[in-house]
Amino acid sequence: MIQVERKKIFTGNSTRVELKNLTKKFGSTTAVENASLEIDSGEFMTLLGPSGCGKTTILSMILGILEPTSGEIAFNGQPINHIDMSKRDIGMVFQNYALFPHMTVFQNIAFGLDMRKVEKEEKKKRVREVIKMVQLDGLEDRFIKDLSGGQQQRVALARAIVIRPRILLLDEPLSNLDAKLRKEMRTQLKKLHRELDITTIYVTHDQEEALSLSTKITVMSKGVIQQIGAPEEIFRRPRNYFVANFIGYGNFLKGKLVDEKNGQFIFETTKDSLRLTVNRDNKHQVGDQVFLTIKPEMLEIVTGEKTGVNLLDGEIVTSDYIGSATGYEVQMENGRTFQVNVPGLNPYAVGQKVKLYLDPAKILIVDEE
Amino acid sequence: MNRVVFARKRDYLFFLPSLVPLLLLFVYPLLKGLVMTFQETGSSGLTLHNYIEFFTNPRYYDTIFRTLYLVIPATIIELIIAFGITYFIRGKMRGKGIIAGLTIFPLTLGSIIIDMGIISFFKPTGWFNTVLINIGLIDEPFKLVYNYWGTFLALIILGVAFMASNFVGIMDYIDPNLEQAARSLGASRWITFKRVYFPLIRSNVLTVFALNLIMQIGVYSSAVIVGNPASETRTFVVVAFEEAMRNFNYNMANTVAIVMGITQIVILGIVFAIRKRGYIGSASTFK
Amino acid sequence: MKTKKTVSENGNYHAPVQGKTFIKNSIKEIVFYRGYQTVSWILIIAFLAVVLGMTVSVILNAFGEEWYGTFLPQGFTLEWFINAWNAYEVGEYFKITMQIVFIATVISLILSIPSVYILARRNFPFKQALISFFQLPFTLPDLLYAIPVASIFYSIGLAETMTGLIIVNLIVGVPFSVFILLPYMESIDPRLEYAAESLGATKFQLFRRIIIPQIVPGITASAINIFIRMFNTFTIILLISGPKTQTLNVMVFSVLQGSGSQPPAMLNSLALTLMIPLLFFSFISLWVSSYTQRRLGK
Repeated sequence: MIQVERKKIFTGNSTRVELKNLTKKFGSTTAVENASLEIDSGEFMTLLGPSGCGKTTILSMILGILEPTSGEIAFNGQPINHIDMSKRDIGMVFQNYALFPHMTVFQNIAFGLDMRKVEKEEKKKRVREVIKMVQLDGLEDRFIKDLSGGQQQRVALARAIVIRPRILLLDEPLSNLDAKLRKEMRTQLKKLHRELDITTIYVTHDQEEALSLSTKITVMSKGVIQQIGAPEEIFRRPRNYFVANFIGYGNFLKGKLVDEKNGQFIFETTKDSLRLTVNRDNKHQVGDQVFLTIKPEMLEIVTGEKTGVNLLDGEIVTSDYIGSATGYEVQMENGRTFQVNVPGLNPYAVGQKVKLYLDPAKILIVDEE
Repeated sequence: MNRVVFARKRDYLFFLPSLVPLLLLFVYPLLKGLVMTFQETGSSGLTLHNYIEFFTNPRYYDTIFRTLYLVIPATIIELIIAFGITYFIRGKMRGKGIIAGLTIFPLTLGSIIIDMGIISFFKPTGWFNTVLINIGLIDEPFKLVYNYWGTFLALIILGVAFMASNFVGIMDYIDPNLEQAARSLGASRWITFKRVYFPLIRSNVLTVFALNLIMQIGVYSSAVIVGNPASETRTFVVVAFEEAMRNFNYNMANTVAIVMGITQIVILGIVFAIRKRGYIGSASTFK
Repeated sequence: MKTKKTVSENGNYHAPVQGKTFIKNSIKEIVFYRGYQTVSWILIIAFLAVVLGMTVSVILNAFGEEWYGTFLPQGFTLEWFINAWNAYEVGEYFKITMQIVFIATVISLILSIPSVYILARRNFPFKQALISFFQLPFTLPDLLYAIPVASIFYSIGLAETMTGLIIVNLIVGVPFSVFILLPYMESIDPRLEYAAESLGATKFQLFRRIIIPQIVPGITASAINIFIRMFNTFTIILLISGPKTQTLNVMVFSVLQGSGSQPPAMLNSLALTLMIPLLFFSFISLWVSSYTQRRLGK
């Protein structure tokens, strides 16, 4: 029902954003290399990556602060590389909010409408609308310095959406808020995006934020796009070592797929020739250099008698109670260690000899690059 | 933050070494100087004679107009040049360091060397006139030294350097995101300047302008070396020095100094009255 | 059309947006911006050309053989420079200046450090007023106190003496060093002092062992700035200096003031003798400040 209504609302303003082979160089360093990306109208796209990965550079090029060295940016198919940033109709929320200190909340929000020469009554109406939407009622005449961090954040958001932009850009908007407020704002942002159904590009280094907010995620590292996909896809099937590591996988084993048997690969580590069996996927084949990864909570500790594949002998060297589970570090005889999370409070003791079981179905094969 | 402790009585003793010399060398002479203006040389009775003399004899009161006629146009032009240069190179621009460094460079040299440079560069056979004549812009060299224009140029060079050195800091303090926010909301470069950038630096710019203005009212060595101190560039300080060093009339010399001080205060008052009519406050982004 | 209308009547945020399918730049703005850029570059180039032209022509004048109407002098020589150095006894004045300024700098620092310490560490009524008072001598036009100081110094016989010149430099030196030492002192963590005190240090030991070593970088940087400032002190020195006890810049000024008959090359050489130490000191100052910044900023 809501779906239908939304479609109706958004006939005039929906914008598809395309980046085609976008490259940005600063002198000899390449900040963004050959990035191609399509963002459908109404999408909530998150650019995720550590600082310095080029995500803010992409945002700056879309906004128009930076000009691409090569490549093209297009809105609804129209190239906008050479369009002045004042003409791009983008709502931007800066990391430090960049609110005008010499204007009141109302004046800040109305600034974009003033630029569009919206007449006075209409302007008042629209500002009042967004103020309500971001719950800033009663603060219209305050100056920015008299607002809390969360309130400032909402003024910045209101200022960006009141102009009914084609695209909403958010540059780590929650990073200056404390943990509790951040969660609250996350919910609000999500709600707002559902209401507005506006093409949104969100930059963050926080994978939790990215997974909870986005309809699509682009993971970046060192200026190169690593993977594009829905949050679930990124989370379940990270393509390579970097994405898997960034999204929270652990226990990486570097090696080679040496054989295939009964729909399973045989994998051998480079360092210590450890052999493991893993369910085959259709992206890899025998001979590939890959990483295996398994989440700490997917590893099992076996104490009794059990025989079969993927059983490793080890000793518990540290334990760390983390609330709902206990984290163990299990060390094999040759020094290799595994992180294991087991539910409950300290079921095993440090020094105890255990067996580790790596379920072939739960191991993930990821590319090196 | 709260580690600053309230002072105990003996802590005040620490101020003695610095305050005593200041009281003797600064406060006492200042007060004595004020009293001196109400006395005539050699007598100790109080009289308004010096001030009456100042405001009735054109030899003295002309200095007010001559100084202002020289300094006010100069500082306005300095403001435009210094602001134009520093605004253009604000933010991250290639070559910013070199341009800013060279603009501020005259400040290092000080006024006497600048005067010498003005003579060498702007004299009839100097580079300035040679170049203009050679490219055919003028037939006769401009007379730019030992008159009004010599001092004017010296003021411009030093004033631009002084203001630019302050403007660079002021402009570095403005968050570039503010401009970008305005531009992304649809403002042109000019509107961004008018509605966001200028209101934020306005009060600091005016303060620097006022400081420069009162500093330049005290122009002396340029008025003497590259100006014409007998008539066109007969500023306050020229007359004050003449009274003190040639006529040994310290009373009159100090009267001139006091009138100069009052002129400076009046001008400061005017500039600050203008300043008060705009936004005065932090120009930083709050976090 | 119909759906859009219904929506906006419902008070929904998404009122229709009129015809925003194609976006383009404004020609007027582009022309305006190009014009602005051109004017700015002309301004920058013109001003820098004058600054560089002045500096270079002083140097060329000082070292040029004959220079009349041509673009460059016909040859170069050190003769003018040496002549000027000898004729005006530059070496002698330079020595006097350095002595005066060095001694005055040291005295200024010694007199101001205790006050700076209290200003940075203690709260008391009218603290801000006191800080403003310290700034007064170098914000007020120096003529206001220079003339009475000169008349006082002449009446008690301090004028035209080295002692007099040193004392007079303190008027600028003491407040100026308070002003520039204060930020350094405020940046030192007072907990170190508490730690020292709790280990049984006396106030004097505290000062010598903890505070002084910590502000040494700050003091060095400040000392150089104070030194440069005093090297440039002009008005008051001019008023109380005698023919044999004057600083370099006052001497140069006096020569330039009555310079009718001197060859210009000689005067330019003289100006250079003042310019070289100034450039040298500012270079040192830049170097020291970047060095201390690197040390403080780790």
